[in-house]
Amino acid sequence: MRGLPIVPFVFCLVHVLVPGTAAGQEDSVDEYKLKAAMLYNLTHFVEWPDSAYPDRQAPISLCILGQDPFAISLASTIPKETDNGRPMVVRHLQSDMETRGCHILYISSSERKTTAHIFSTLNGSCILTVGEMTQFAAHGGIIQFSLEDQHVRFDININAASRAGLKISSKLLALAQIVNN
Amino acid sequence: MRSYLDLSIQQKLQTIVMATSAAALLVASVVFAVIDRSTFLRAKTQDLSAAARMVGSNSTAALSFGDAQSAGEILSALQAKQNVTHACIYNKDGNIFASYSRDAANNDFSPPPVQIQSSAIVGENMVLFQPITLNGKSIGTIFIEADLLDLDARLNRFLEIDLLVLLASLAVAFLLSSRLQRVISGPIRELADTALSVSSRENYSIRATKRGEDEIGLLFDQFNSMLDRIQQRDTELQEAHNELENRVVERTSFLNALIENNPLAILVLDSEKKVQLCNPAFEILFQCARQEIIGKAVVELFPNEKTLAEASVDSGTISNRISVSLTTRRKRKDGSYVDVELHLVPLTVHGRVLGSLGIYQDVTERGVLEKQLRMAQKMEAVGRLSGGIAHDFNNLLGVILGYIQVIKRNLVSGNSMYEYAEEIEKASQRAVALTRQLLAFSRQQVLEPVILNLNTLVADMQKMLPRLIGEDIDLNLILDPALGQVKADPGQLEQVVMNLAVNARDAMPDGGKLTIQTSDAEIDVAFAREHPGSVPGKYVMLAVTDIGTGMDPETQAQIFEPFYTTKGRDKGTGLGLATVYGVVKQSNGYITVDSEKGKGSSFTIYLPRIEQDVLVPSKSSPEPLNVRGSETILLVEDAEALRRLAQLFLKENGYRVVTAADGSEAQQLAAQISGPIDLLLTDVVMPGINGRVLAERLAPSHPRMKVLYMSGYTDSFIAGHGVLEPGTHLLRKPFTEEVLIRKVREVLDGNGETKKPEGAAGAESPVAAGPDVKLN
Repeated sequence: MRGLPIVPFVFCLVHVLVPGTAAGQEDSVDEYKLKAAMLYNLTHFVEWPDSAYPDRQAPISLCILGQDPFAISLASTIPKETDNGRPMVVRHLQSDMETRGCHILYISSSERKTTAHIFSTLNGSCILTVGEMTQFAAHGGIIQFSLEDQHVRFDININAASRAGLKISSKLLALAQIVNN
Repeated sequence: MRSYLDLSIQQKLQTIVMATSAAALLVASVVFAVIDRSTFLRAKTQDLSAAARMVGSNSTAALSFGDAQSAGEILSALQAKQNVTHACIYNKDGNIFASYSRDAANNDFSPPPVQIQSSAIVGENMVLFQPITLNGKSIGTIFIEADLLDLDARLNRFLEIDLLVLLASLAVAFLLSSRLQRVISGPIRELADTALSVSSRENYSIRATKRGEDEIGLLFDQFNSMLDRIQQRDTELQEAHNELENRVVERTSFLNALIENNPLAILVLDSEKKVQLCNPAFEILFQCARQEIIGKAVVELFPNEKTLAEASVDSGTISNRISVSLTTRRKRKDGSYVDVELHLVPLTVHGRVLGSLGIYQDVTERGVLEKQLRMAQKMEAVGRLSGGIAHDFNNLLGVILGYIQVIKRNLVSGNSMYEYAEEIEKASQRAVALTRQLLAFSRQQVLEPVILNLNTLVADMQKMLPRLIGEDIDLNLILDPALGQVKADPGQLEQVVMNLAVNARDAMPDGGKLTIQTSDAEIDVAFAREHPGSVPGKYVMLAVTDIGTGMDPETQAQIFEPFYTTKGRDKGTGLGLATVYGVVKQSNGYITVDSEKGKGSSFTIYLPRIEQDVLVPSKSSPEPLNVRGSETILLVEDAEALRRLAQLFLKENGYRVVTAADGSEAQQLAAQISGPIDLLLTDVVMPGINGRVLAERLAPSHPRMKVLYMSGYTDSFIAGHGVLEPGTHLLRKPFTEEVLIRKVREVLDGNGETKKPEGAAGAESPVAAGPDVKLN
């Protein structure tokens, strides 16, 4: 038994390494396919207060503000329903005034200049703000994620999360870098 | 080497208890160990499973966001579990996402392909696959491999404890069983001890005492009841044995009695022809004591004893398996001989010959008896012969004597012819005497017995005897004064005494002593058996004893035979003792002789004793002076010479005589005769009608006729014993003229009723006195 697992081990290594190489070649498509999945997975580790939903079957709303980098990736990646029974709907917002009813608000990098403004309008509402911009978390965003060396990196502002009334799983926190601001 | 079966019950019980305890403990230990191991493994599995779930749960985020590094860090938390050797996390696609090894140096870990949730023992390790789920969805799998070293350690410790417990338990079991086994082995040992003492002492009255009602108690009961039965059977056996022994003793003594009381002499020889036993009859017969002869060879006892085979050859018997009988002679220790009839029988038991049985019967006496019987028969035959001769001689002598007298009457005395006639007469008279003695011997003379006392008879002869025996011989009378009576013819008895006296005289030519002794005597059965012809009863004995030459046995056996004499030719006729014998026999008496050569002889006469007094004989009537007569006499006689002679005598004496030759002629004559017939003088034995029948036939027509019979011997005239019936007159042949005439006169005169005894003639005396008739 000791000698046999060598082939699966090699295969496993190759398998892990291949997406990385693939991502390098087709960066725009694969990266956001991956990020779409990340965005979806976040719903597993964040808990919204019951007041965030009008009823038990109400869908989780993923709102995208700004230029949508995911294109069609989101639609193909996100399943119709989440694991806790809530379907997920994707909304594309034209302005920060439309955030009402959103549970996750992806703030695209295109909105860099209005970020502060967005944060202020969202103040007090329980919306998980996600962005890829640098210093997104430091400026008041709740989760900032980026790809580093083929790995997803999280920066999480737990103060912002707490202000928004959201509970972020410790398992996610264990992966993240905490920003206290 | 002792097998298990040889062990004592105590050891067996202990062995059983120990083995059982050990087996139970081992089974318990093994079961406990197996249960403990499975419990341990289940706990281990749960433990690993919990760890896997925890790690899996912690790694959901890492998996979700592909953070393998974080996942590896989370896996590293398994370091807390020392026995986890390897672990890895597979992603949803089954590829390795992160892995962990306890020993960093040992990098040869190759994770197995992913499996669904399972746990298993692989080699020395436990492996476990646990899916990682997020909100109910599987997002990967965690694999954990743990070593089981702590299980081994646990088992080892368990084994150590178990061994200690086992030893301690066995020790306790040993102690307990060595105590408790007595409950079972104690009674069994007691039972065994009881059985041993029963068998060693053979005392079946011992009983075992039972302790309880269990199976051993049952065994005790059965053992005791078995002893009961054995004791009972023993008793019965003993009784049967005793009874059998008694029977054997009884049987043996019975058989012994058969031998001991057997009147036949019995001698048993063993197979070596040595005397094994003999009985009292043998001791008596051969005059020996059994202790002298037992064990001796039979040839020492009887040199001429023969073996069965020899005797078989002698007797003509071929096989020696059957008995042999022979008559032979054996010598006694004292040299005397005994004639025996010997039966030899082989003694066989179950076909094996153990020896021989000899049965001896004394036949000496039988030989003597046979000799005596032969003698008696001879005497009888001789008697008949001489009697027959005497009968004819009497008639002839009567004629001769009669005519001699007639002749003499016509001759002158002194004439030489007269002397010749006298010589003839003397010789004839001797012939008459001889004939008479022959008749006496043959017991055919007519006896006229009276009751008399022998003492009187002997005393009467006392004067005459000395003249007969001579002066050289002393006469010695020993007469028993209380002597009983006898019934006998006195004349004949005088003849007997005289004959014996003459014999004694002749036995003592140089003088001596003659003893005549009388006494009462009895003949008993034993005497009668030893003396054939004698009859038991009361007798009067008369013994005549001399001290003369005596006789040897051979002579003694013959002395009573007629014409046997030891004397010279001119001295005796050989009829003296024959006469004695005949008279004694005819008088229902018995005679013996004891004699020893050189010492003398003794003749003993036994006559029947009777309990009657002596009749005093009436005085004899005086001799008739005139014997002549004139009466008519019918004379019947078939012998012509005698008839004519009698006629002559009667006529010469004046009688009128009518003669007839036989009975029928006499009857005719009697019818023709005119006048009465006074006397019938008739012969007895005649052809046709005999004398007695004639007398009976004539009696009715001649009522006053008297009868006088003439006869020379008794024959058929007088039934059986030669004794005259009362009232019968008999004239003995031969007779002289004088006797005839006087007898006729007596009968005619009617006084012949009583008659004095006639004097008896001596053995060698001249012719006896004339015939006489007596009436009793």
